[in-house]
Amino acid sequence: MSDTAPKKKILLIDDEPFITNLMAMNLEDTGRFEVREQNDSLQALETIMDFVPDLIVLDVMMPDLDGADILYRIKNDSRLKHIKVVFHTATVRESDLSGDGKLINGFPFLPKPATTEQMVTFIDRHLPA
Amino acid sequence: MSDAAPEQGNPRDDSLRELAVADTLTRISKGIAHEICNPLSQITLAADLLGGQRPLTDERRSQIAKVLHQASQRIDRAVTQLQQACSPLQEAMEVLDSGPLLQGTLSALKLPAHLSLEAEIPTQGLPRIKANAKYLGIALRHLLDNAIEAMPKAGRLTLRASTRQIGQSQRGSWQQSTSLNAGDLALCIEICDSGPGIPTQQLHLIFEPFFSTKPAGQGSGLGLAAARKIISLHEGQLDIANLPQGGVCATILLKALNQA
Ligand SMILES: Nc1ncnc2c1ncn2[C@@H]1O[C@H](COP(=O)(O)OP(=O)(O)OP(=O)(O)O)[C@@H](O)[C@H]1O
Ligand SMILES: [Mg+2]
Repeated sequence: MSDTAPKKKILLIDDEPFITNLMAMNLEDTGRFEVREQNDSLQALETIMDFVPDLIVLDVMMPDLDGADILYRIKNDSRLKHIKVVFHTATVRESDLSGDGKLINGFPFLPKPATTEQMVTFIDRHLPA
Repeated sequence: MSDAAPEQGNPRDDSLRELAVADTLTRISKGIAHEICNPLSQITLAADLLGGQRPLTDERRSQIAKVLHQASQRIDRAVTQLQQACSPLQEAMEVLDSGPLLQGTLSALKLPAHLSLEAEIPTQGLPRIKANAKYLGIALRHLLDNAIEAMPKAGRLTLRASTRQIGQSQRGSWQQSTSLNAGDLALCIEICDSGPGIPTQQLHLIFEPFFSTKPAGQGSGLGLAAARKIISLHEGQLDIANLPQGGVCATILLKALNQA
């Protein structure tokens, strides 16, 4: 079944090429995902339009546009706002999110570091059916 | 509170200061998380590749090795710089002749080929100072690195030393414990560049540990925190300002010892 199911498209937006590279290799090795990487936050929107992913994994702390800026732009663009966004970040801890309207409140996040298995479980949970 | 400086007596200033400290702590903890969890993430994902089903090609193997090295260097660098920024200076201070000290800094400088150098370090007449040569060297290194990194394509690096009399308005802020008083003679070291300068809205952030605008892995944002720490342990003063003609000038003031 999983061999014939179409691959889900995952876009990784993170300014650390080493990390997106490793994530892409690990995710692609499962045979279930088509992965694209973008390390330049200023080009994120363009890549989203071009690739039209099923799910975006977004870093928070990046130069130029940070994760919150990019999320804001996605959610305010009628062509993009349906795309599922999750955060993967080293700087936001579980405890940061319990309070009131924090930046990424309401959006699922997975703290770094995470294993590929945790990442896949997390992505599966949030992928649109 | 009895020993508080008069300008800190204002309760509003105290609460501002508390806010600033809380903000700094938040930034530090985020910075540590960023500089350590990102390389940890690399290590974790590299381990997954090593333990995965796919056979390891030579290319993958060398890529994984590179990633692991980079991760460990990055954590090492963050820890070292954090220690420099936070630990008390234990090494002894000695009386040093600032002229030869700075000549040494100058001759050890590896200037990238795309930059020109303007050095004004008089061979005679610079004062003696009380300093720790190793730590002062580290502080100068951080400032020189910043100047060089600000000019990736072309530019001019200036290193200048002189004796200067401290003016009335030149005493540092509460962040710096300085022994300099108006009228004192000081050694003044200036490190200037012709780079893009620092955006005004970031000037108050540059000494914060982990504040960096440099790409991931290239700047941990601890250079200036360490430099200011070192200079204030010398009871001197470090200020950074944009130059009217563009670029940045870092100025170190260190109390000149009375000539014997
Ligand atoms: N000469 C300069 N010109 C322009 N910007 C500067 C200069 N010096 C410092 N800055 C700004 O201040 C920030 C903090 O400097 P700092 O030396 O503390 O950290 P860093 O250089 O980013 O990283 P690290 O020194 O830890 O490698 C820099 O990222 C940069 O934005
Ligand atoms: Mg620096």
